[in-house]
Amino acid sequence: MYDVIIVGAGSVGSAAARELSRYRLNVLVLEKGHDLCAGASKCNSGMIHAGYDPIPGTNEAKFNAPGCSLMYQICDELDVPYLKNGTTIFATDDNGMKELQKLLHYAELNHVRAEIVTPPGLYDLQPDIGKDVLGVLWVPDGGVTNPFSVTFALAENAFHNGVQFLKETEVTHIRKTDSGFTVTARSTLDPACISSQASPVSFEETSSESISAEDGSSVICSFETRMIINCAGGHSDVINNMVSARHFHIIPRFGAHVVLDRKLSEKLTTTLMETPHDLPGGGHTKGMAIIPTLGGTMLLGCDATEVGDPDFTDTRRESIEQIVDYFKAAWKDLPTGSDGSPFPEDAIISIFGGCRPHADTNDFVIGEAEDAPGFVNAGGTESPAFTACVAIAQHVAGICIDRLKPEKNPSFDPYRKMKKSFRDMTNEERRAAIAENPDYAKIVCRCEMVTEAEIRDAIRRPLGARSVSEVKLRTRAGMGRCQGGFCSPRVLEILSEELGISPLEVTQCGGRSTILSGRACQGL
Amino acid sequence: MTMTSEKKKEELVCITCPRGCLLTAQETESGIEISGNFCPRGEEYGRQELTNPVRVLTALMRLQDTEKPVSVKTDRPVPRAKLFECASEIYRTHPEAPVHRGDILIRDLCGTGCNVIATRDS
Amino acid sequence: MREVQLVVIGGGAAGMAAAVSARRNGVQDILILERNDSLGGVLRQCIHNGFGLHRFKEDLTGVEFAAKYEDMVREMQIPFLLNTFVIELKPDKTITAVNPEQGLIEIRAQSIILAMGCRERSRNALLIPGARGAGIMTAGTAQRYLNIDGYLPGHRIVIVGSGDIGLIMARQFVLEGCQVAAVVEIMPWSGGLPRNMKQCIEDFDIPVYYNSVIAQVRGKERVSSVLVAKVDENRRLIPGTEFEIPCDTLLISAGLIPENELTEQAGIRLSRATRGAEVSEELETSIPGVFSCGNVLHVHDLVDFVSEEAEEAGQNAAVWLSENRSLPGSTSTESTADPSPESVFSQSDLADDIVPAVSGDGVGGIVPQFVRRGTAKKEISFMFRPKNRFRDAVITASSGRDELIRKKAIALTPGEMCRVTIPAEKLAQASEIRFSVEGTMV
Repeated sequence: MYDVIIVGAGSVGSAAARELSRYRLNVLVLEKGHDLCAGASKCNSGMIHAGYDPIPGTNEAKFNAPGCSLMYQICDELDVPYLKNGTTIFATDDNGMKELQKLLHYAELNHVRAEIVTPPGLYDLQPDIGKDVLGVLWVPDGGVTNPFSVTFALAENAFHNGVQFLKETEVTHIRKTDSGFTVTARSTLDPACISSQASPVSFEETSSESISAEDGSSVICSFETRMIINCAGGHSDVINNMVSARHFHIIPRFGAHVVLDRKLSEKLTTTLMETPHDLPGGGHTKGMAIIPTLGGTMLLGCDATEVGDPDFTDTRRESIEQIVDYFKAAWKDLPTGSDGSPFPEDAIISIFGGCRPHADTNDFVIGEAEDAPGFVNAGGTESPAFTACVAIAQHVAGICIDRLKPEKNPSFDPYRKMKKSFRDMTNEERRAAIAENPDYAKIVCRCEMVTEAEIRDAIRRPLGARSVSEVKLRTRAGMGRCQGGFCSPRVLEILSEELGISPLEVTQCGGRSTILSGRACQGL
Repeated sequence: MTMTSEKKKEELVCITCPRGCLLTAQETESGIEISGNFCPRGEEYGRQELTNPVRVLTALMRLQDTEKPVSVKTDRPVPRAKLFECASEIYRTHPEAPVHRGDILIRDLCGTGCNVIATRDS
Repeated sequence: MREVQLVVIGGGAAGMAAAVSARRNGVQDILILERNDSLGGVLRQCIHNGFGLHRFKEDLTGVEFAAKYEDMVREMQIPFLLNTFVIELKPDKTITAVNPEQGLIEIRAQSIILAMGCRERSRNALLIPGARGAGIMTAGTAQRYLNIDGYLPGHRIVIVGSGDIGLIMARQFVLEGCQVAAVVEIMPWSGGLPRNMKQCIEDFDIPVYYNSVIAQVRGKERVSSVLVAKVDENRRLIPGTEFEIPCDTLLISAGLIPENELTEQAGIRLSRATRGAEVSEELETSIPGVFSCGNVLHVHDLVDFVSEEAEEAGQNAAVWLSENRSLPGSTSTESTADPSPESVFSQSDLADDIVPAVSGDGVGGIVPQFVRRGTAKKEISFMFRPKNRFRDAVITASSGRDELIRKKAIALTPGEMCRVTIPAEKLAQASEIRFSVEGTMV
C-alpha cells in the first residue's frame, strides 16, 4: 500500500515527489512518457515569471510570486544554473503604456516588485533598446532557467530521498476503495523491471486482441494507495474525471519557440517582451518574448493556438511564420536590432513547440476534490505553473501531510551536487576534470562542447537518459547549431554501449522511434 | 536517354570529370556525332553513353567476423545495366579480415572483367 | 606554453593539403590538430568515386583521395594530434585544445591555417514543419551511419534539397535495396553537380520535384510520410498543391555552412556572402599570419579545388613565416568582428591599399574578397557561384568602364563554382573588380 501516488513526472509532479520525500511516506510517481519531463515541462521556455501578470485573486496569482522565490531557492539547493536577469515588458505606443500601468497595478496586488522605467533611465537598464520604445515595466525578480534541468533535479533528489518512479506507465483507471484508491496502469516496461522499481499488487499481461500489433507488448498493473496527487498536466482532466464528478477539461494551447544561435545574446541583459495586446494569440500568451537561455542561445516566442491533442508537439508552419513575422517587424525595437541590422533568419537553429494545459476553469485546478477525499489535484498547469511548481507542490503535499500525519524523514537530503558543465568550466577546472576522467577531453557535441564524460554520466545517473533526445535534454548534446548532425551517431554508440543494446535498438525518444532500420549490405 | 531508331538529337551531361560538359549527340548517316565536349574523353563518353553506358560501382562489403564493413570499388566501369547484379555479388561476398587498401576482393565481377578492390584498410 | 611555427586546425582534405604544401615550402615546425580519431575529415565517409581527377588525374574515391594526402603527411613526418579538439582561438594566435592523452594543451602559434570544414543545414534551420520523431537527419549523417558504422537509417527515403551529398546518398541507397521515393528541391534547378544529377538520379529514375518544399512531416514516433507542396516565385508555399509521399526517412541535403565559430571567437572578420573569413589574394584573414582555406573559407563543389586552395594557403603561410620570422609570436590584434558585406570597404583604413572584389549581376560569394595593391602574385584566381542557371553565358570582371577580363561559358549552374584568373598587372589601376554574369537564364 502506497501512501501517495503522484500521476505525472513533469515539473509539478517531480516537485510534489520531493516535498513528500521530506517525510516517511511510501510514494510512487507514475509517468506515461518514456522519460520524465515529457509533456508541457519539456516544451517550456524556462522563464521564471516573477508573477506580475496573473489576475489578482486567482490560483495563478496565488502561487506564482511565492513560486518564483522558491524556484531560485531549489535551484541553489539542487545545483541547477539560472539567470536572474529580470524581465522587461516594453511598450511602443500609448495603448502599450496603458497596459504597463495595468500590469504595474497587478504587480502591486500580487506583491511583486515592479516599476515603470522610461528613457533615459531605460537605456541604463537595457542598453541599445530601440528608440521607439516609450517605456517598460521592469520586473527585477524575473529570470530564466532550464525546465529540464529543474525537473530532472527535483525527481533525482526525490528518488535519492526514497521516492519510487515508474516511467512508461500510464494510468488507465482509478477506483475508490475503503482505504483509498486502486490505481490501474498500462506499462510498456517488462514485469521484472516494474517489480524491481515499485510494488504493484497485481499484474496482467494484456490479451493480444486488445492491443494492435503496433503497440508492442504491455502489461496492466495495479497499485493500492491512500492518496493521489494529480499532476498529469495536459491529461489532468482525464485523471480528475476518473475520480471526481466535478469535471474540468483541458483546452490544449499550442505555442512554439524559435531558437537563435548563440552569438547574438550578448546584447540582451534582460528578458524582453512586448505588452501582449494586438499580438498573435492575443491574451492567451504572455506576450512575444526574446529570452536569453543558459546555453547562450535565444528563444523567440511564443504564439497560442488551440489544438485538440495535449501531446501535440509538431511544429506548425503557421506558428513559425507568426513568430518570424512578428520579430521581423519588432526587431528594430530590440537591442539586437536597434542598430538597423535585419532579423537574422540564418541564425535560426531550431524550432520547438508544445501545449499549455489550459483548463476551462481559466485557472490552475488545485486542491482536494470535494467529492473524492484523498484525491488532490494540481491540474490545469499552464504557464506560470513551471515557475510555481514548488509552491504548488508544497500546497498539495501539505494536504497529504495534514491527512497522513507522517513523521519527518530523518535522512532527507535537500541537496544535489552537480558537476559544472565542461563548457562552463575555467581552463584550470577543465584540466582537473580531464586528469580525473579522460572522457572529459573527448568532445562529442562540438556546437555545445559536451564531453563524453557528461554523456555517460547522463545515462548512468538515477532516472537517467535512455534515448538520444533524453541525452540531449540532460546535456545539451545536439541542441546547438548543427542540431545533432555530427554528434548523434556518437551519442547513439555510447547509448548502445551503456545500455547494452544493439545500435539498431537505440531510439530517438523511446517507443518505436529507432534511429537505424537495418544493417548495410543485406542484398537487394 | 536511349536513342530510338528515329534520327535524334540529344543533350547529355558528360560525367567523365567534374567539369560536366553539356554534350549534344546527333545521329547522322555516318554514326553518332558528339559536340560540346571540352576534351576527347567527352566524345568517347558520349558515344559510350549512347551505346553501352558504364559506371564505376562503389559499395560497402562485409568481412567475415568483422563489425564494420569495408569500402570497395570496381577497378574499371561496369555496364550500367549490370549495376544491381554486381552490387548483389559484392553483398554476397564476405572475404576474411583483414583487408588492405588496393587488395583485390573479387576477380572478374559477374563476368564484366572488372575486379573489386578495397578502397580502405579494414 | 608550447610554441609552434604553423598550426593547422583540421586534418581533412584542406588541412592535410595545407600542411603538406607548407612543408614543401620549407616550414619545418608544423602541427595538425584533428578532432576525429583519424585524418581525412568528411572524406572518410565518401566511399564514392569522382575525386582527384584535377589534382591527381586519376578517378579516386574520397577515401582513397584522403589516403593519398595522409600518406604524404606520414612520409613527410608532419606531426598531427588526433582526438584533439580546439576549444579556444585567441586573436594573439594562442590555441587551447583538449585531448585524452595530454589533457588541456596550450599552443602559441606564429601562424595558423584554418581548415575546419563545414556543416550541413539542419531540418530545423530549414524550418520544415511537422512531426519531430525519428527518421529525420542530414544526408551527411546518414552517410556516416552507412559508410562508417554499416547501418541503414531507413528503407523508403525522401530527400530534401538536391545538394551533392543527398544525390550521392540516393544512389547508394538504391544500390543497397532501399527505395528513394523523391528528391524535393525548392529551386527550379538542382543544387548539385550536373554529373551527379545524371549518374545518381536520372540513372535510377528517381523523381525530382522542383519548385517544391516539404509542407509537413507526418508520423508520431517515426516519420510515416511527408506532404510535398509547390512554391511560388517568392518561394512561398502555394496552398492546395500538397500531395503525400509515404516514407520512413527524410534526408536533408540543402546546403552547407562553413564552421567558423573559432574564427569568430578570434575576432576575425567574416563575409556575409560566404560565411567564411574575409581573405586577401594570399588567403590571409584579418589577423596577419592567419590563413583560411577549404570549406571553412567558402563551400566548394569539388574536393580537388579544396586541396588546391589549401596548398596555396600552405605556401602563402610559408612565405609569410619566412618574411615575419623575426617578429615575436604574437602580432596584431586590431581586427574587428563585425561581419561586413563583401563590397563595403569604405570605412576601412586599408581602402587605398586594396582592390575589393565586388558581386555584380548574377554573382555571389567571391573569394578572395580583396587584392592588395602591389601583390607579389602574378595572377589572381577568383572563385564564386553564379546565382542562377545560365546558358551561353559571359563572365566579366570590370573596374568602372574598364573590362579586366571576359570569359565565355556554355552553361553555368549554382551547383558549380566559377573560377576566373586575372593577371595582377591588370589590377594595378583598378578601383574595384566587379564580377558579373550575363546570359540566358534557364
